[in-house]
Amino acid sequence: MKITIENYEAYALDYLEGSLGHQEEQDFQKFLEDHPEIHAELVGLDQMILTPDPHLKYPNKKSLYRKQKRGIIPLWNSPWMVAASIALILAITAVLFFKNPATTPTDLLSEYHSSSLEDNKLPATKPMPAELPETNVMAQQGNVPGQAEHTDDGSPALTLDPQLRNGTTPRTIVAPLTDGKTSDLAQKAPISHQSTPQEEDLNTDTEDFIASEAMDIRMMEPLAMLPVSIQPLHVPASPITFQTLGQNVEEESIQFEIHIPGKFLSETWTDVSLANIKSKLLPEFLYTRNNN
Amino acid sequence: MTPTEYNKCVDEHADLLFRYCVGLTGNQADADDLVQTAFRKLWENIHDLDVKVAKSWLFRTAYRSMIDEYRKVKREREYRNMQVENTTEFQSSFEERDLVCKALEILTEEQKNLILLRDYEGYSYQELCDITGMSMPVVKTTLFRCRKKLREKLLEMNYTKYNVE
Repeated sequence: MKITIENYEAYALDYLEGSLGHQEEQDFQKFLEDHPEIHAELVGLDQMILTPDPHLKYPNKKSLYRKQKRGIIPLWNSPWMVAASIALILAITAVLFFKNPATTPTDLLSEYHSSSLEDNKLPATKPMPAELPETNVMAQQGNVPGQAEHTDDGSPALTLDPQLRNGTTPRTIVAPLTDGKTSDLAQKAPISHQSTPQEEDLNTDTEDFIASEAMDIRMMEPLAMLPVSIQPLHVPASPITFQTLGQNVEEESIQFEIHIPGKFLSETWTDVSLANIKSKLLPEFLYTRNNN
Repeated sequence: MTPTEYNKCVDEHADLLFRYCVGLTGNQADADDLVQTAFRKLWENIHDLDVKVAKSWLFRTAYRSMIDEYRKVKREREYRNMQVENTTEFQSSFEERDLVCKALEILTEEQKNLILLRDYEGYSYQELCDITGMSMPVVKTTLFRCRKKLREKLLEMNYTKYNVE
């Protein structure tokens, strides 16, 4: 770059400090010969360098010192420290959780059932009769408690668990719904023999009690009130296996099986998953529809 | 930067920064405020700064603090300096250091900053470019004009050290 009157100042400092290159120094000397007034400016500028006072000290240096605050461990500075902290918290939580066996999930479920069953106990203000009259045929015939049966005329029978009469165990009542004749659970079961007047009063009290209990159970246990069966039109009525084991103090879970008649429904509902329900049920539905 | 490194910075740079601030402001009280401000900001940004850049960061922060805050009271300072000048004119003797500080008053803050960093701290031109954000020709031109003005001022005050005639 050619040295001119506009840019010579930048070269002048380097010339005074002796940091110009050989060619640039010759060019700058030639420029000074052409401009003697600028050459006069440079005289003595090489000595114009400020020097600090070495005796000048900062008087308040002690006020600048700082101390690191202690007591707080900055765990958030390192990702590894954060991960270690989380792992430590989880480990402590796991130890505290499994140390007490009463806090396992199974025990918590049992406690929940026990508390719910205690809430569902029969009212003590309404005592049951010592011996329940023969309001239920199945009860005297020793059938399986809680199993749905049909009476002789085909109407549904209300089966009462014998244990329920004692008021000591949870109730399980199954009320099948067929043909719209007996859709109400509170409908009374037929009496299959002649009763004396005393027995009539006793029967009335018992039936009222059963009806009120059924309503209570319907309100509290909707799962037990599921429909029993849906009769297919082209398949003759067949015995329906409908079994509810109900809630028991000793048992921890509800086993619930519904067997549906039909050749394609030999499996239980529990075996039919959502994945294969289309492949199993839809072809049969189409087949039945075409045949009809 | 750790607190230990910060305290080491105080040991190494506090005096240099104080002299630089005295050159900038012309009095030790304002220089003290600038040093305190610079080191307070250094402590606040201790986790973001490396110890290698602490010195240049301190000088740059002190200069910017002077620009930001010291200009607010510039008129008051000029009035105060004028009062001091009127009283010192009648004194029989002047120390050289006072003459140099007085000569620095004719420079702008930008010129004072450059010449103090160059002469006091020995920064190279490239380092001055990094600190001030100026280009290399601008830094050299500004420094050259600073020296010319200082020489003229000192010759005007009959300062014999730089009297070349």
